[in-house]
Amino acid sequence: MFVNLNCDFEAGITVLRGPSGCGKSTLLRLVAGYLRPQTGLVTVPPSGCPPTRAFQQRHLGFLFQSLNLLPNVSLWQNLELAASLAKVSRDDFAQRVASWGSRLGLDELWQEAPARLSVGQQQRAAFVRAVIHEPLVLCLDEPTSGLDDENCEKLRQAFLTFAGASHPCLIASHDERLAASANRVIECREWSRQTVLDNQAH
Amino acid sequence: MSALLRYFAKDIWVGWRASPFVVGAKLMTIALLTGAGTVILVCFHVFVEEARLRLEQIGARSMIIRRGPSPGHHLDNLWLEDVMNSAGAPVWHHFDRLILVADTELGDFSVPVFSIDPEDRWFQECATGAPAVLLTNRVPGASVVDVRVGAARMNATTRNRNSWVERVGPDPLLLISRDRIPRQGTYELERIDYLEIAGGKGQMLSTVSAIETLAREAGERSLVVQHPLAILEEIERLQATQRVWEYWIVMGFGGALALVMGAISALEYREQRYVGALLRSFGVHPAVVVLRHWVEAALLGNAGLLAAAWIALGLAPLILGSLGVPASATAQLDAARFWATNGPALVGFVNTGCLLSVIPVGLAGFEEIGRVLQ
Repeated sequence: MFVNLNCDFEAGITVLRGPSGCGKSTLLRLVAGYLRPQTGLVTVPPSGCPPTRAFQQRHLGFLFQSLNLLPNVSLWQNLELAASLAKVSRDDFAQRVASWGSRLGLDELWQEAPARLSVGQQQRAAFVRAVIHEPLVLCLDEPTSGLDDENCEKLRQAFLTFAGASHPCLIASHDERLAASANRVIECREWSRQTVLDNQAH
Repeated sequence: MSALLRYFAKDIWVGWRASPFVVGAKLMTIALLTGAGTVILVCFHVFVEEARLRLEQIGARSMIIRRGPSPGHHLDNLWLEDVMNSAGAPVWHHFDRLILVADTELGDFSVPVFSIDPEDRWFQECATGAPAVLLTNRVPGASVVDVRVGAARMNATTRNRNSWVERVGPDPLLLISRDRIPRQGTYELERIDYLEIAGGKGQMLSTVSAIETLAREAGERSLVVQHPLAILEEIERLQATQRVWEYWIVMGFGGALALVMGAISALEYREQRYVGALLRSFGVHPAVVVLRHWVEAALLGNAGLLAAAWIALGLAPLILGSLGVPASATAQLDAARFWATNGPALVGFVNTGCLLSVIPVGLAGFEEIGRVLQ
């Protein structure tokens, strides 16, 4: 899908934009190590090596487009599991859950099962799970699809809060509202089964 | 790690509660297969235990040699003594059943009379000074009764019969010290030697063979050796057949269990592969995901095994009874001994089946996360 692609993602929010099927999600999965490139190399911080399981545990936060939460346990246990795998201490975990809960309006919902929540609540909870271990790299695949303006704004504020200027935050999205907040927008255009990335600084 | 374990425990429990019929179907399948295997093994266990009981009753190392009243005494006790010495026989009693009967105060019946060497230590212990010993279970042991042999009267100490005495002669039976036989020169009807050898089956076999060869060479045609070799061989044959069945139970039933459980697991995992991939996306090792499915299969498998074995052990006497096995044999069914003998095979086949059933899950662990999760 990608030919001669050479791209560095700096700290800050980078939005990947383009039509469906152009490879936005594939690029995120390559960065995360969820897909292996047939040729070439993907390197990630802090080691500068290809993504490993340890990177996925400790330094990566990933929000999928769908099925983001483990269905048979509460939101709290979803977060606890991610934090435990990333070796987050109990105190830090409790502090971060309280902080994100109040910021995203999830305070009363931690003991609920995912199936009992709305799509917007699930997306916000999944975002908290993606950032609970304060990853070095955050990848969000269509994080606002299907969300109303209010939920979209809450999430947008959360990205901005988390990413700031210190973490690379890659977002694959059609949402113009997100592009408006990005440090960098990359247009992905499908052309002869190859994807060309156009850099467009904001 | 504890959070992961807690997650797996809750995931399994919630999954079971969400689909009780699937759990029931799995348990039923395991119980049916295990129950069938258990019943087969129970049958072997009962037959082996019954043979062992018979062996205990006659003595695993004992033999009885019966000879007729050989004219001219071609076969005297000297050669037998040589054989026994070479076999290391620690116990040896020689009796002659005489053409004499005794009357006792116990009832209106005749008691066969046997003579025994007065130096026989066992006899001396039983007689406690009396010239005769009445072996019977009709009266309590260690009492003294009056017996009459022909015109002679004497006291006899009573002793209850043990298992080997029951094989020597009927109840009651009078043993008289050879030097106290009232009519000297009385012919014997039968000469009986009770022996116990020190070695195992091999020595028993060679001893019996030596006795029969010497008897044949001496022209002794009436000699009969009663020994437990047939029962020992029966036990060995049963155990060998049992091992073959155990093998096929593990291979056949274990394979069937793996196929059924594997098919159900594959169908389930098609739904759960997203959850497995989501866990792997957090950095959980694929082997841990497989382990979670194996633990679930093993929990159900071993629960099914316990239930099936409990039911099969309870029903075995009825099933065996309907097949014509006597109640005395099924009474030998001891659950603890059954588990000690057959537990490894049953646990082995169930857990082999459970392990094989997670192969589809294991193969799914090689799928790239990015191709499963969208």
